Amino acid sequence: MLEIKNATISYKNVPTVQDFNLNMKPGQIISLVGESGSGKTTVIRAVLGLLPGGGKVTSGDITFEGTSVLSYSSEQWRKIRGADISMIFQDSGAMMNPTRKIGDVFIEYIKTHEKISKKDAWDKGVQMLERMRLPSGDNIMCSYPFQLSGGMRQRVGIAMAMTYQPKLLLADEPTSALDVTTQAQIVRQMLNLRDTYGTGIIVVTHNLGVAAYMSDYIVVMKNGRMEDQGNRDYILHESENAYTKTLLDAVPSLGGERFV
Amino acid sequence: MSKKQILTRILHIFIVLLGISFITFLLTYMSPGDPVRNMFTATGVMPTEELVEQTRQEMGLNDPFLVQYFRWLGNCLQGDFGKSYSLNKPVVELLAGRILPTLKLALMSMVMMLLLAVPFGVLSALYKDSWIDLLIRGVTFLGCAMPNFWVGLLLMLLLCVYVPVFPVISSAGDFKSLFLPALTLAIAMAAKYTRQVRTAVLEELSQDYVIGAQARGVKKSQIIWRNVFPNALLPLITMFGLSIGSLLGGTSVVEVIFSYPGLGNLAVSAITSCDYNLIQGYVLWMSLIYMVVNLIVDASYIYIDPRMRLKE
Amino acid sequence: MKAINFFKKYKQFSVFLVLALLIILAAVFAPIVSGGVDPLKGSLADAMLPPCKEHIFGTDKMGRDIYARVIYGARASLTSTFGVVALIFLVGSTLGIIAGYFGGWIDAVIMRIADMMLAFPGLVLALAVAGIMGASIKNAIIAIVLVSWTKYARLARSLVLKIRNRDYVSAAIVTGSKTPYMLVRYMLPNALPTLVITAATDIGAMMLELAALSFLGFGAKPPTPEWGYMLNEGRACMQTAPWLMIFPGLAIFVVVVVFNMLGDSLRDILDPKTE
Repeated sequence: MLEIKNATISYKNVPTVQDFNLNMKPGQIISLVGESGSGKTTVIRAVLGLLPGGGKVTSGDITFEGTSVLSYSSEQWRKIRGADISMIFQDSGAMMNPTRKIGDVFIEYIKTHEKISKKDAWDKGVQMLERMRLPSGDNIMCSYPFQLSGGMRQRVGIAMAMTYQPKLLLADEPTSALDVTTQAQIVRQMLNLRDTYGTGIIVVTHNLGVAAYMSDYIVVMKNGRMEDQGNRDYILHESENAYTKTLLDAVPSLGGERFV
Repeated sequence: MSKKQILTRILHIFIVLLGISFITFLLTYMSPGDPVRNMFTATGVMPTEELVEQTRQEMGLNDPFLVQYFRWLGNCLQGDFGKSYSLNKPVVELLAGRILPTLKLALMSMVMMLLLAVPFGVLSALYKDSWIDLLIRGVTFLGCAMPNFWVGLLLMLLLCVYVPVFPVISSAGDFKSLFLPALTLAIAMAAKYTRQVRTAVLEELSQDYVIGAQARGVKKSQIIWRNVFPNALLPLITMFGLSIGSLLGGTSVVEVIFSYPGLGNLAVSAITSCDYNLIQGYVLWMSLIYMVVNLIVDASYIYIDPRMRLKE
Repeated sequence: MKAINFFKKYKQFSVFLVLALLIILAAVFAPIVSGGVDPLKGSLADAMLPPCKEHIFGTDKMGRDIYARVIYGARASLTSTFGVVALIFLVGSTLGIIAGYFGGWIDAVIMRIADMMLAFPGLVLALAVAGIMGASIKNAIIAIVLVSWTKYARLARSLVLKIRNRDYVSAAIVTGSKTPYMLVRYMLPNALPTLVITAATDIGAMMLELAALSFLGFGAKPPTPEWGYMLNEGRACMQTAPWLMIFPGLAIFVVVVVFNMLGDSLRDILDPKTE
């Protein structure tokens, strides 16, 4: 479904990510793990064509469903973003205009992807919120992002991202800003998405514990390069890579057993 | 803003007005000019020493300072700002007659300023570092360095003398006579505000929600005009209120150039003829207008921005 | 060698520094720059001449040479502007540092006065002050200082408050450093760079305000050549002799541009964070 071949991504001709390779099948969950500055966020930003100021894929290729995304026009990009490929962020609430109600943001989003009346868009939004087990969708639609708790905001973000049942969901540190209980809820919800809709997910996280819990395949990144990669079990138990091992040691153990 | 905050602000306005009234009265009291002599000179009478002394006595100018001040303050509170020596009319009447033209001028120049500053500022921000941005920034920089009275004179030279489109003396009060004075004020302000609009839009463009909207596939025009633009205007509202101050000062210069019958023009002639009652009245009225406008601006800002309105 | 490297590194600053110095030199050596022409004397036979070979900027209605008057005018404009900036810098910073350092009622009194000044349209009060005290350059300066010092006071106060409660300051106080020493040795150096930047960027604005007051007749008195007042004189005969107002205006414009650019590039050097 998604293939990244030997991609090098540079800002102002300084490479941030080098020789990145990934081959992702539909419904797969892949984690990119690494410290901040390791280039993991840059990779998923490149997949969505949203590299900030001056960032560019300078060599290699990224293909989504067989076509290279590098050749997309801005209009093609626009149609894919939020429909075939969606993204959730560390704080999805901060990714919404703070001076508009969630309902307005939701309707704006739905109306850019289909011709639909405001009323129907509203209903669709409420329906999505309730499907993500958010109680009283109407109330949430009438709230401003800053009036909701972190966990609720994140679920609203997921609800929006799932509106068009994307084939690929990109999640940028989706649980890092949340407390442990809420983290677990959000992680389970994301696993549900794959089971219900068959959505493929790429999770970017610095938390190897979260990655281990969720993913089929893990890529460890360091200084813009792929340091280690493999199936979940390989990374957790077999890998001889020193860096992977330090990351593993940093994961807190729960009751004598690793939370993995 | 809560009711309590508004009440505090109104109280604050009164205190400031009290301070201002004291300062202006003190200055007048210490000033070298003699209002009585000026008054007679204005009417063309050469007064004798006795006449001067008698008039001083009648007007209470020989009383101690504080007595004079509180008498004057008490009258002011009752709406009586005394009589203008030079024009021989009650100050309130004079000011009331001039206030509307000045507000008209201020409002018109604001509208013109917005018509200039907003499109150019947005353009400059959207095409940051392109030639159009550099051009706009260059022009606004030069604009900031032009004295507004010089701009007024140049406009006058161009549009009244060389290409006579507008009247040289703008006393008629119609749109045509309002246009040039307003444009003069607008140009000076626009130079400053274009940069502010640019900064505000750039600041908004760098917010996370812009990336969020892009990731949702929202159209660029929608992001800019329905999200970034309204948010960028919010901080400008506060600056808007503060610039009322320089605008009110600026009107006096421009009103003099174009012989526009406004408050500023009145004040300048009052100052030249040492008409202290009129000067005091003018200063107090101006500060009142300025502070009330700022109160309204701040209150509306808090009403408009939901983050402020709903904050616990 | 060091100096050359400095100028190479900060080209923009160097260029405008040279231009500003040229302007100042022109004012100082006005008798030479004006070619020995007296700005106060003219013959009525030469009145209202348009720019020509003998009078490159033309003459005014008393036959005085505009070029000489513009050059000499730089003296009045520059000295009064520098005077204003120096005064508001001194008065404002001193009061601000005192308010910030001592706190308590001293702070309250100073800052409430500053608040009051801020809650007031600047030029309106300056007009009133200049007008009431009578027209002269000195009074115009006082008027503008009276309404402009608050900005520096607030700035200096906030800068002092930032370090007032740092450990090394408390340590210095505990070890017995005297108050004047504390103010000069710790508070002033901390606040100085920002204040200097502000002062440098304010030169242009202050010059414009002074010119506005002079233009209205509340600043320099005739026959002293001063740009704002020259514009006022030129206004009356704008239709027949536009050069009377074009050249003094141009002089203000050019000088303000140069000092604004100088201030901006100084800010870029001393404080690269802010744009």
